[in-house]
Amino acid sequence: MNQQGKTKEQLIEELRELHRRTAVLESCLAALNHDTGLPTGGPSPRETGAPGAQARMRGTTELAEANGLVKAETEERKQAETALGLSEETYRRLVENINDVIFSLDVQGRFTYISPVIERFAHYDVSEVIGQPFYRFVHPDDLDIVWEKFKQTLAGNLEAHEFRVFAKDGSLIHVRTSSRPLWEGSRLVGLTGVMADITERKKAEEALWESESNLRTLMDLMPDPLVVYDPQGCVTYVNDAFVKTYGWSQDELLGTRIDFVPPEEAEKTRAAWERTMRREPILFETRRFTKDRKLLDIEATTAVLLDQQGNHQASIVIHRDVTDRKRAEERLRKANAELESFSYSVSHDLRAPLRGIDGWSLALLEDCADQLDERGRKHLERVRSETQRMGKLIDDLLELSRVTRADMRREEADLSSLVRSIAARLKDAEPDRQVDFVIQPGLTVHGDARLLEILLGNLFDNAWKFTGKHASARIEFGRTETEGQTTYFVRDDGAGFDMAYARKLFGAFQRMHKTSEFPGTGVGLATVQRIVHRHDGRVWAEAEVEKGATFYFTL
Amino acid sequence: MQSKVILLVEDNPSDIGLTQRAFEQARIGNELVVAQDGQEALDYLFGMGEWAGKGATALPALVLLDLKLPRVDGLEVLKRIRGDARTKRLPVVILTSSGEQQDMAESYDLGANSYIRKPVDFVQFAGAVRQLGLYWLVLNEPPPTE
Repeated sequence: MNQQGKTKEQLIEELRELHRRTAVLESCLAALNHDTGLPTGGPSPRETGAPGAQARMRGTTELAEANGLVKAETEERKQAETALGLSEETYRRLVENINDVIFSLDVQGRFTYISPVIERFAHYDVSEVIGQPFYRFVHPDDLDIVWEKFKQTLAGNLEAHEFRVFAKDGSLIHVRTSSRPLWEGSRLVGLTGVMADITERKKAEEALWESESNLRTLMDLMPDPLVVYDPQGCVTYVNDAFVKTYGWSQDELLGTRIDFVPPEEAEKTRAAWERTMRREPILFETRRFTKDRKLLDIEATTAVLLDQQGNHQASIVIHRDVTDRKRAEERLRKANAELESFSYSVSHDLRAPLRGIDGWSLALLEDCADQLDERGRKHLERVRSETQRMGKLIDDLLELSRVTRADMRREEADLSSLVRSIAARLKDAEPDRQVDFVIQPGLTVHGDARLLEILLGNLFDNAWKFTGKHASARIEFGRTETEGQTTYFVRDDGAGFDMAYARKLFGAFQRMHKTSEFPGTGVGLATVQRIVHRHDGRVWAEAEVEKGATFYFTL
Repeated sequence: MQSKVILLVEDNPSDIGLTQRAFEQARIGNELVVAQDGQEALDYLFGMGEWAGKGATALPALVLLDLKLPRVDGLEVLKRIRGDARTKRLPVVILTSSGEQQDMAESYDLGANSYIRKPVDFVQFAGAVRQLGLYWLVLNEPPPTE
């Protein structure tokens, strides 16, 4: 009776097999009736023996003949009994060797026969069952229906049914019986049937039901709309979120095709469907109508459920309502576009007047030189230098903004060679300065070369600037390790700064030095930090006044 | 036939004045014709509107084109210049305040011969104009006329 681990299909197959065996058995029963009927139905040896006895009185010959006859008849009878014995033996073996219980009931429902399997089956001894009404063993809740079925079977309605019976130890056994009326000649004497233990199958069904019910609960708890379609595209299930999001009720949807694909999304949806059918996992963005024709932006995930034979059984689609996200993205896109145009205006329109101020100040100096004294000329020079400082500030801010907005293009970047060309540019600009560049060769990273050039440019501009008051200087670029992480550094032996203020170092417009000492806009290190952050790295500095500064960064 | 005229397309009077001044200082003697927006520039080049019947036969030697202009912007002017058989080979130098990558890329894509960002420092600006004049008006062989 070990049915553990069997599938529903296997159980059904076993049941079919059982039916076949029952049919065989029934024909055996019929054969048995026929066999036992022969000697009783035919002339009885005792009856035939009577004329033999009369003949004995007539003569020895006749007596001998009669004896022979009796012998023959006895022999015949023995043979018939042997045949009967064989047939009974076959029947018994057949019945007792199958795992299912064979039984017969009389018209009152009392057991007239039960196969000994019942001992294994429910631990009753055969003798404890015979003569007992069947309802003694049936679970009270199932009694009405079983009684009804019993009457129907007697009336000729053959239908298998399932109910629960008690084993001897009080435990419940799920059984399935299949029975037919039992006739003796034209007289209905009861019924005979087969009973199978289906407890394991019932348990499996209950487990399945439970897991299905768990699954439903889970699907209903899901915040995203979920719909299950049959192979024809009709809805077989929608979860609560689906009902809530789209506005149709379960009843409106079940068994229908949902009319919610906007015409412009039909092609895309069809293509996604075809890919789903090829069992590719799909995530696609599309749009769907709600019941009140509101358009939702959704992300759909689809999957196909196959049965054991690999046939398409159902398709599951999970929607994620991304309408709000899409709106936010659109707002962000607009905000970015506005920022672009703002930057453009700053770049173009703010610089133009500065060029005018600078140009016309110079024109004044050149054209009206004789009308200006030394003081007047100094004032105009200051106007020009302030104008140019503002121009530089605008340029630096634009760069900072560009660095933030720029798309990252990660590629193999040769830092050493970038540094060499930056050093060459600095030397060309001020060829008289004594600066020794020490550049570690062959340092390549995976990063955005354009941004890294701006980063290194800023650090070297600083190193160059802050070593400007020393007669000779050394600026170094190399690689080291900090806490197991590859770290690059730019080191100078210039003015340095007080580490007490290092916290403010990377903020925009933060300056460590007076403009009169070292000019600057205070944007360069903010730009450096943004570039490092965009590479998911870290940047920090170590410095000492008049001993130099070292800037470290990881990428 | 090519004249020695330089067409400056620029709407800012201060920049027009400074450009004229830079040309004078660089001793570039060519006549400087100023168009104050894109439409005026097109009118001049194709002899339309105010310039109907006057400018069409004498193309300038060089066009200095700002990008941000009233009515028709600089990129559109450039597109129309390159799209017309009469002007498609005309040397066009973009002279603008914008240093935006996108402006540069679009200008070159549309066939600008050169792109110069006007520096704030007039000394640098004058230097740029001087070199510009020297290169396009003296060193460079002008395109053949058909």
